[in-house]
Amino acid sequence: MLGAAGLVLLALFLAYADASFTSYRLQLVSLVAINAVVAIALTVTSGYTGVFSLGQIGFFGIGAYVGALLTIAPKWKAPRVLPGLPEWLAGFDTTSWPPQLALLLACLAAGVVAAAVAVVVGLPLMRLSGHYVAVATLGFLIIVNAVLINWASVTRGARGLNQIPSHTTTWVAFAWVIVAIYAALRLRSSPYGRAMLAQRENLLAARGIGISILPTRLLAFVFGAFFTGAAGALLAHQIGAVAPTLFSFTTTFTVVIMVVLGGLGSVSGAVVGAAIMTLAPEFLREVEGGFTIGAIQVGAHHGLAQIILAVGFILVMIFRPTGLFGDRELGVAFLSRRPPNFDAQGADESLTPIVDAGVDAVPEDTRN
Amino acid sequence: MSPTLALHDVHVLYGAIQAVKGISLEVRERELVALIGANGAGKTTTLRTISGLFRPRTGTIVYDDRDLTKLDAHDIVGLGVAQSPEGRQIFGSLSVRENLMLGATRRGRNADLGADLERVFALFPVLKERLGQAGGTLSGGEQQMLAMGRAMMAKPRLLLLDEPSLGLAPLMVGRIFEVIARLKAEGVTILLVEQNARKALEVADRAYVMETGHIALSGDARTLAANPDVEKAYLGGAAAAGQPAKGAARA
Repeated sequence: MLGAAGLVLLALFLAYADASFTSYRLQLVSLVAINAVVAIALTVTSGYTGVFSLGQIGFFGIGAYVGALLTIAPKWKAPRVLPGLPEWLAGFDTTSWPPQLALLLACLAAGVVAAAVAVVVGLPLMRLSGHYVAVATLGFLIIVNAVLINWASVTRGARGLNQIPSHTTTWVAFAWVIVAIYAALRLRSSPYGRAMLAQRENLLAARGIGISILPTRLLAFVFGAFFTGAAGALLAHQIGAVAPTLFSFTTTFTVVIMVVLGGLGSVSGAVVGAAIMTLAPEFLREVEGGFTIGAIQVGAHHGLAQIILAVGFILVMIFRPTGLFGDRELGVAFLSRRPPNFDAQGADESLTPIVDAGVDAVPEDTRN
Repeated sequence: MSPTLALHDVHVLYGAIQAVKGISLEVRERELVALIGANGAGKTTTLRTISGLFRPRTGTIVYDDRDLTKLDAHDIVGLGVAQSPEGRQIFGSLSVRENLMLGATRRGRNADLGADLERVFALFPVLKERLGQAGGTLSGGEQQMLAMGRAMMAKPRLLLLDEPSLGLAPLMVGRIFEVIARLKAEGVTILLVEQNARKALEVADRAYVMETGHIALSGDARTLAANPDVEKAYLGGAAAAGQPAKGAARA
């Protein structure tokens, strides 16, 4: 019900945006969606499992380049430009395809390649925990960056790739958001998702009930890589050019902030975090140019936007340390539910009424 | 008939400390065996080693003709050995239902979990009322019930219970032991680790007394309960005094 209403509202908004927004604003709307997909992916990879990955943007970069190389017209990827490309890819021509079909192929291929890389990278890395996995995944990001810069015969090095057709529309970008939300929530309520949360919560107990830790974490890592890779292809076809600098530490931390701000583990939080982190700098840019409140005049101060944003994060982290949503989801229950009170020691036993065993205790609904 | 579980000369290091120094014990089918002893005797380490959470330095743990020391924890659960761990270790932010479903992790996709949930509710009706609640919001006694219910969801052939009465009020301790007796009557094979020796010896068929990593005494539960040494060390007020001490250490 709530989901259907949300979809209708989203469609109305996108139709309105198409009709009346400037192309710059439309691009911002698409960027919100692309960032939301990445943030949802990181919510699964890190939020569900507690395995903090700083390598997510590596998959973003892989996806962007894979998607771009598929749809760039053959004349821009001919051997004299990109001598390292295999012949079939250099000649692969989607210019006569319907743009959305070409984009779909680019996104799926980008997702699959990123997921395949995630299997290889994740097999050793998902055995690590805590700070070690954060540092190791950061190492992966550095490797991706180094490859993008130095494998010039395929990536054009630091100059990056351009002439990427602008296939990404706000509609397609939000379609990916919806698919990502749906997949993440389905995963959350499946046995695999439960296993991810369980091992995050208590590793020893999770192993004790028979959860196999490596495959559980690897699934979350690969899931995140697929959607991040697809989002990378969306980004490439949104801005028309990609360069290694797009897939840097700065981008990594921006996405981490989106997820932590929204609430690590909450899919809705990731979407809200992505929207705030994409739009707030734009709005604050106007503030930077100077403004007037009543009699007080504030002149132009460069860097003011970042300071305001940073103070905002600090305030959120002080007053809502688990982010805006914690690990709960936006919904009817969210509005009426109190936050759970974690009482590890348990309440006073003597006050708990002990209900006697009822033979007629039949569950109405025993499965999710 | 060969025993369901047999430990032979098992040594376990816990960090640099040798927590278990060559113990041997047996649990036969449909038997309730208690492992009692003071805090730090190595009881929990022994159970966790059986479950594959710790690796023994030497020794064999044979369950159904297979050496568990060669298997991973998840495979051991898959063979039907489930544990309700010390300190309950429930998943606090997950719902009671999710905690229970997680107990059935190794049961495969087509397992009939409905009937098993019903069985858990019959043992612990309060869990049914709390299904949608986060596990962390339950009282200590309810969390203990949840931990045992979660272990039951694995449909174990051998149930390992680690300190089920630890930190609970006397009324709740009685309730938990009633359930243990009922599980035994239903034919579940149980290895029970307890500091509350008096209660444990009341329900058990046989018992082993552990002291600083060794088996000090073993035998029929009634005989042990009447043994003057056991009475002096573990029953004569020790059960009452020892329990809050451990609770206080962890608070």
